[in-house]
Amino acid sequence: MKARWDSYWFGPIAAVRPFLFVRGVLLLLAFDLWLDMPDHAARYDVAGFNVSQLAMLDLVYPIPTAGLYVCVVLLAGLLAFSGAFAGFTRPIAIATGVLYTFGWTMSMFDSYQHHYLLSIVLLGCALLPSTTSTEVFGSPLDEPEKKAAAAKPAPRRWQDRLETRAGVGLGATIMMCWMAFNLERSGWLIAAIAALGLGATLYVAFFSPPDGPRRTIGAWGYSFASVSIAIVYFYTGISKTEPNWRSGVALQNIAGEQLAPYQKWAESALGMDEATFHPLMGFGVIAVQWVVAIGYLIAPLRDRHWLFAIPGWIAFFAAMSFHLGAEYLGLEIGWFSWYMVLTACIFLLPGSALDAIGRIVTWPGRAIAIAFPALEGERRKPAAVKRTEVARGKAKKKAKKARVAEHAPVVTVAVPAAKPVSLMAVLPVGIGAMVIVPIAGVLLDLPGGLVAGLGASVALAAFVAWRILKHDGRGARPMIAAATVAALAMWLAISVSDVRYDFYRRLGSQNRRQQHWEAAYEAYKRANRYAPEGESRERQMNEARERMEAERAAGGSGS
Amino acid sequence: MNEGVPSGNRYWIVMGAIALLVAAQLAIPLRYYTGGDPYDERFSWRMFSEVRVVSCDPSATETRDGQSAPVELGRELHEAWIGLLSRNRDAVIERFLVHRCEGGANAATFTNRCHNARYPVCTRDARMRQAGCADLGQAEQVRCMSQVSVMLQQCEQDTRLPDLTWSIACDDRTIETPDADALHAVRTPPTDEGEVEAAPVEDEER
Repeated sequence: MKARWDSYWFGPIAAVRPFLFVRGVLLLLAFDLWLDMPDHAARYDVAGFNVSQLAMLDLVYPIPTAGLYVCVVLLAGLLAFSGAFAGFTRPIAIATGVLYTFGWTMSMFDSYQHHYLLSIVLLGCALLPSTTSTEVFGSPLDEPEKKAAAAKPAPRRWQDRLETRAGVGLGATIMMCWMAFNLERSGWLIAAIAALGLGATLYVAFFSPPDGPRRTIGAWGYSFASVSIAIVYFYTGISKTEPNWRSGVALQNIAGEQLAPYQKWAESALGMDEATFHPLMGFGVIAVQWVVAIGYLIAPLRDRHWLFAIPGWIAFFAAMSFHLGAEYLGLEIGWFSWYMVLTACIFLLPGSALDAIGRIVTWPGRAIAIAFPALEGERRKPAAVKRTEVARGKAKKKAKKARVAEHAPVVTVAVPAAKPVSLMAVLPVGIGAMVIVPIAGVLLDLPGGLVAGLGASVALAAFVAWRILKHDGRGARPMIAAATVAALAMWLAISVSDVRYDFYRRLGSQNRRQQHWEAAYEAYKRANRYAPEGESRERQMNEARERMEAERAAGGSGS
Repeated sequence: MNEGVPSGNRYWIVMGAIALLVAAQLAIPLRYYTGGDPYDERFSWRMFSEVRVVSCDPSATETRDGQSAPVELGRELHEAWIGLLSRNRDAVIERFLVHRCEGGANAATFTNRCHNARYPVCTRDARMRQAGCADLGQAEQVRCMSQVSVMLQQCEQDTRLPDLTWSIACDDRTIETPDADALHAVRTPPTDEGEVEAAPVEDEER
């Protein structure tokens, strides 16, 4: 019994899962923090009134201001983005988690429950070992390993092949859904990049499915994250057992008329009347939650036996139906659905499919490592990543006996040892990055932008100093590059979006309501600078100016 | 068997951490189901719950120098805070009352008049009728819409919940909160489609 228990928490899982989980969450979070959160900052510090998420936090937290909130979310985004590309995910996840949690707990404004979920997810990320793309997918520079893999390709079962293709194909479909939902907002550039990714993914799925050994890793943090998400679905299912959900009325309330076509179809094709359809849908939602919960609960065992693949697939489809359905219904829940789609893909799709996807998404980084070996960041002692071959014959029997089917560790990945690097090779680029990052913050034209940039620079300086003290200045280079790219990505993302417009128009609106005309005028003036076509706040700005002048005149005449 | 299993004390530290974190995640949402504040659904994974669709109309009055006057919420607070006040968030309401005292009031009262939109059979019917009204001629359309409006008012009346009132005496900052029955009325199951159990008479009168 204890052996099974230990196997659940510490047994081998496909190394690609924690790798993609941490990097994917950090990357999505970075853009979520930059694009979906700063515009809400205008509501902070109105009339000095605030309530934190917990009463005790009121004693230690300052009254949040727009500047503080923006600074926290931008800085957390910079850290998350840097971690997604440069590694050292464990300390980055901790720092991002602390900042993010501080951000949403500082006020009850952020009442979406997915903030709480993301804090738990970031805790899960912090408990996972930091792995690099070389450790997980192998380095293109590592010729002996490549040759060994080519000489002895791993035998693959039909379930593996089928699962890989189906998994990658579905991954591609989800990417298409994401494009369809976000085309309007993301624009053609992003759509083109996504289409390229889609093409590459489909190519790998159907013409060049990856062969060769999978790599596994023991990571109890992964099982912890899996159980945590299962708990969320379990309780969500419980909350849906209330009468209104069972009767289907709640779903009707949420869906409005969007369920009507399906109801008509059920009526015409299946002869199902309305009184049956809606309760069935209501019960369906409850069933979906619990099916997904079970899927996550057994997700750590997903790669160990093909029998676990069946509930994995069922849970995957259930999760997709629920979260893509939520997007279809246009629920105002931020990016929550996409976090859950991402986690469902990583936890519930077959490891072989994720391996294929992972090889594609990490290809640019590994290609850069070939072109610019000096930038290569895979420099640490090898993580406990093992390369495994699909067991056959005696090995299979042995594996079964060990209840860790098909994952007998064989080879530890060889990683080139770090070479010492002189201070002068790191400091100029480091200082350059420390200048660029605050400049990006200033260019944002948001309160707190400069401080966020300076904060990121200080964090980067501390990191570089730490690596130099560890005689691994070379190891600081990927982080320097990632921090610079993060700052540029932040500036670009915010510049092409409506974040600044939304922030300033909301600030103007709030000041207008409170009759702070001068502040309202300044806010609307800035909102107009970033206003999309046809959405100018000229009228409100003029009104604020007139009121401001009237007030001044009244004040002047009064004195 | 499992090479990744930590050895010695580290094993028990890791297992202890797992047990603690998982237990906390199981226990925190339970707080809601074991008699906690029915309107505070945070940390309980109750997205789009029945409680969330309760619709309330908040109002506040305060007394200064013996004169009672309504508080213009829209001018005093950001609309997001008004949204949280209308969702009966106890911590926000209490902080708001204290805030009034800090602003110089002698006493303040906050009231939420709520109706339970969670049994919106009539709302749905109204929506359908509204759609039907569009096909009528102008004069008939006006009559049709006014019928729908009356119907919705009736619905609102039928699904009324007891008023919830918080009050504070600023001299000693004691806060009076709504009684538990009124607060938990939102959890009362419907007696019939489209209806909720009648609220206790004393709550209606308050």
